[in-house]
Amino acid sequence: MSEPSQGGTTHPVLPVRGSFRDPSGSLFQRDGILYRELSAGYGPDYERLMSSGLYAELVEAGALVSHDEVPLSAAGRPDAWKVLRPERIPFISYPYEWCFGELKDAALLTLDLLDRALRHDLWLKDASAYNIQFRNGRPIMIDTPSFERYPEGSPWVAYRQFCQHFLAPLALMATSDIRLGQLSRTHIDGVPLDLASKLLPMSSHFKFALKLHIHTHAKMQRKHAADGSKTVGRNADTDNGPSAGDDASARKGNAAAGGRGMSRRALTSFVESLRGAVRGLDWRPHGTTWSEYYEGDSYEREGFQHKQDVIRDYLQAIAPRTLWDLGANTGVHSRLASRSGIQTVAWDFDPGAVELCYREIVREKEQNLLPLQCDLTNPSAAIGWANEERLSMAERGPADAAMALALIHHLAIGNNVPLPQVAAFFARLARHLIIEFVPKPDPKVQVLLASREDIFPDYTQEGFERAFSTVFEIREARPLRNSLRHLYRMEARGSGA
Amino acid sequence: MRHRAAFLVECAFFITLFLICARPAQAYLDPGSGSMILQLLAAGLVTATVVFRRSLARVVGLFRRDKGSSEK
Repeated sequence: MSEPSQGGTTHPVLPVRGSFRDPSGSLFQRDGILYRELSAGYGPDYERLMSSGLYAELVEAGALVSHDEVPLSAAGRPDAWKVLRPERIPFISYPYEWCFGELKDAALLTLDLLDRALRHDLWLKDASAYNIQFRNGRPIMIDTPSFERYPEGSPWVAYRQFCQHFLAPLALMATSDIRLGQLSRTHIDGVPLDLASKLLPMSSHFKFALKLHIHTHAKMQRKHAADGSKTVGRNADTDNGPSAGDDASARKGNAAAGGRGMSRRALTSFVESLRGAVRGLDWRPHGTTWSEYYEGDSYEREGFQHKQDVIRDYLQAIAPRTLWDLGANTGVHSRLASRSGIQTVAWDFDPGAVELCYREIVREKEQNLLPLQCDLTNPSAAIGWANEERLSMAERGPADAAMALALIHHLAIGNNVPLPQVAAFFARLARHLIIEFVPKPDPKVQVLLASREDIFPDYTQEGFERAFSTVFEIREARPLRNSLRHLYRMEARGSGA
Repeated sequence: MRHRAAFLVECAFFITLFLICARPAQAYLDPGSGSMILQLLAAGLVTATVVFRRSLARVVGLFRRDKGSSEK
């Protein structure tokens, strides 16, 4: 798919790989600009969204991405009905990278959107967690075609999806184990309710909302599994649009029955019940590995202050627009970047640290900082259809700069990764690197070596510089006060700066 | 045994009601029959619970306001 330009060259249309499920509208990029093309079938729903005032209300509230309508000539498909240029989100993240608080806020936003939409005779036809992203510390809906006209009398078609994508993982994280949030990685369409039902503790049966929306829901799914295939077939028939024959007969049936089914009031109550279920779930980090790191005495005040000053200097020298803080803990150092206007992603493997970072962002209404959960020894892989639907961590880079503070020993000694491999991976993630070398005599390294044989003869400052020099040019190295550590500023070779 | 029969009749009634009344969803995803039927079956109970909770919150709020104003 390409379009000849005036100069005779072509502008390739690059479809966004995760945007193929909904025929109403798909995303593509051309010349680095993101577009969404809508199909004619979605036209009446789009017109209602725009004319009802819902779009303006949600954009004003920061709950939905804004867009501009652009000429149809920008379309990538010949059958496109309208082309939009949506506002871009600084960084696309996925539910399995969110902490509990992020997933909970995304769930509440989804229900709030449905509630508001119903007041305008619209609703959400899906409730995928992938439709929500984070911008300036708050969740935002990015999938405009999710809004469609409310079919009076119908139960919510996205009820199951909402429970699988949001309620089940939240309930598991809150009541069983926070690590069960990672089930969303292996179950791309959300945690199956029968699995959630099995894993939830017995006490969840005595909570009305969880009993209904998860346990009974799972039972009903099992009981009506055979009907499901009929439903799929019927949907396939009606995918062509409202004029499909089955739909017409159903409308007649519905009208003959006095338009009953599920009343709007009952639907609104269901939304409120789901909201209560989500609000009733909570998880507070305590005792996790790093969440109390800065509360201990591992960092002397003066040394800590000096480290922050050096980071500030390095950031000024690099002047990045985007930065990834690898092993960010609660985001103490990440905030040096985000508070100076740099779009910062704070990655950490500890859900407690990510949670604390997010809570502070919400409390202080912080901008430019996105805390995400990621184990760097097993970073987010490309998953979904053809391994292309959700991008790997590295595919979403490179960032202008990365920080790796007090991290190298965990990778090289804690996980046996040879230093040249650490350097090569970091060079894929960012063009500039601020990295702290923690030598063997450091107490933190001694803890790692205490219970194992030292099989790391190359783990020295010279070995570190040698390994990183193959892919980076070392621009600066400063010793850190009150420690044996050094902070380096590097630039990837061939980055052109 | 009679309870079980009554339950089956009730289920059959609601499923029939669902199949007759509910518009086929235009969703591109499968909403799942069990999920749709559960909403219809539980609609009354959920609505009653929500109304009860709202009323309870109002009453509690009323007492709290009174308590607050009497403390002043």
